Amino acid sequence: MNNTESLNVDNAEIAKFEALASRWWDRESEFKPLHDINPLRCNYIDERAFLAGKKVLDVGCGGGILSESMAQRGADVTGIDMGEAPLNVAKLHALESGVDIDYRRITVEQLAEEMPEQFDVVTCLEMLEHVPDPAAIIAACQRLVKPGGYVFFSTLNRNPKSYLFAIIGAEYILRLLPAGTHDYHKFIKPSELTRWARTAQLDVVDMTGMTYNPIRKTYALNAKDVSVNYMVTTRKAGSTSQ
Amino acid sequence: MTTINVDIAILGAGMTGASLVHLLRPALAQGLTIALLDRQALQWQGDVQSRPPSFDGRATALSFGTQQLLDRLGVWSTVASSACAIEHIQVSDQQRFGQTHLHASEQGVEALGYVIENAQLGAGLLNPLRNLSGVQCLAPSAVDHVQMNEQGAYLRLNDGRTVQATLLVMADGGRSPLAQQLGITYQRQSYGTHALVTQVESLQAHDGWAYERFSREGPIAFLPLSSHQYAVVWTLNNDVVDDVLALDDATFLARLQQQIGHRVGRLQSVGERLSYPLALVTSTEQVRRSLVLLGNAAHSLHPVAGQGFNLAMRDCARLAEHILDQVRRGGQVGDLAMLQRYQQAQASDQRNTIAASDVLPKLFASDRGLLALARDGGLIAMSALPTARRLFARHAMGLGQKATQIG
Repeated sequence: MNNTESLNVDNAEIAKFEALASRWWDRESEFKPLHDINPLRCNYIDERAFLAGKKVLDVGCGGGILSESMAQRGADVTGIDMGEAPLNVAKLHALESGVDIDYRRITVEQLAEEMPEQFDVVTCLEMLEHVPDPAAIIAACQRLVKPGGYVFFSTLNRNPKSYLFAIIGAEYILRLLPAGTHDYHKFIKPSELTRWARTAQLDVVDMTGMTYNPIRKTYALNAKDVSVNYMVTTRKAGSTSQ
Repeated sequence: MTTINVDIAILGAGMTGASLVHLLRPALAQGLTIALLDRQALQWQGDVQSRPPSFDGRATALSFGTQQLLDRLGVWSTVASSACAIEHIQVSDQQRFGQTHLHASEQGVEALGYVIENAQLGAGLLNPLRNLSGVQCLAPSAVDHVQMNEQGAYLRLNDGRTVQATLLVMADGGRSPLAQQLGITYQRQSYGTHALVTQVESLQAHDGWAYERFSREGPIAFLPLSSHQYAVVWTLNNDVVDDVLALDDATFLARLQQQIGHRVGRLQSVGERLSYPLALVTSTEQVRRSLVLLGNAAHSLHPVAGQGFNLAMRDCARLAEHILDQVRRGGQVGDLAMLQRYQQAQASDQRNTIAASDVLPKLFASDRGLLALARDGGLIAMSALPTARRLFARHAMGLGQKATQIG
């Protein structure tokens, strides 16, 4: 695939992650926050969707941090991304970890054509704020998940507080991705995300914030504070047939 | 080969794993099943000749809280005769004024804590499990591979057997290789020091005194064992530990005597010396669905305050409390929400205990003026203020944390 211009992909965004790929699994690198909060987020997903034995799609999988942790919880994981370098890192690391994950370079819209309603669970974390048309991604996730299945999103809120955090770059920002990888104008308000989800016929069943305690240097999920990073659980109507 | 199906598989029959089995006895009585796995054959009698590594020649300081828990479990009565009560603790700083004393009588308890050889406590914990119904001991056996599945955790042993458990408890020691197979990593912060552990005999009876001394060569703890013997934990810088280990007995005792002072009486003999590097090692996660890390597999601490095992016991008690409650309500023992509640409930205890164990050696390792002044001031203030002393004692005794309701 050499022409991605007509696709729902921002090539400049992809390029940023290409450059950083080699440090993806370095826990002391700019990816540290992503590693640190991953257990909490993966448990959040597992608690609601029961991952073991499920067919799971990780959209915008990057270097595979979430994909691997879901596979280690017993899920059958497919990870997709449009970045060549992060995907290669993901594939290599999976070999090292001894987990079996199907990594593919394909857009979520294209996969939705190919494998409609094939997945029990779809995750799409830290991805919507990097694409030109987030609503289309949400709609494609809805097509990929089976009736009754869960779709999880996480992104950055757009308000004065998150703006301040993103601009100042102070230590206590929950910056899940390296500096320079975020464009404030693409941040998404919870009201926008829930509207797109409903339009795509996904029911919003839960929303929680992710916060950082700068003194204890710990992360937490906090349903009362969605002002910066937040995570949304949605579900497609219908009954799960297994 | 057939698969062994159990509710809970506990990896590691060390003090942590064995204690958890005891704490779960009420659920065993209701039909819960446990498989206890260890790499080593279990030494029911605490055989001193061939101890498994976790029950080696070391001694453990049990907080008053841990002793109370062992008592309620019926284990204490079988090991009490080989444990020594700490009735007084002296905390001092070599060549400085600060010094403080803690007394059991002042705290209104019979002991500030107890010292017991790991082998003795290990035997006391393991023996009663031998014929406990619902408990299967799979030892020696090594787990080659672990795979999480819809039923929980599926273990493949090196002898071809397999185990399917609803909940897998990893109590298999620091940096559990199996946890790493599941992508759980460890954070390690080295202190640049080693602990040298040994036993010494003095001409003078200890009379229930323990000594914590912050000497120039690093903190030393003298814990009373049998009447004239002490268990010694001596923290030494990495660059000197080998030299000290290699000293002949007489020179070693002279050097130790110089550091601890003469209040312990004249030291006259020393047992086998062992050493291990000191680091604060914590796992990046402790619970997942059907999985929990306990004891050193979750956190291993600097031994300065002797809180590692006591914290592990409080973790065990809290986890057991949650599992028993879950069983009573007919719930699943691998339930993620329940395991997260357990972790939440223990979080502040773990955080505080780890922070205290981390800050003490750093405070006393430094010779910088301000810190030295602060610790002098601290020790003087503590000996002057009954309230501060009581608080310190409560922490040392492991009573600072809310008691669990196991009974």
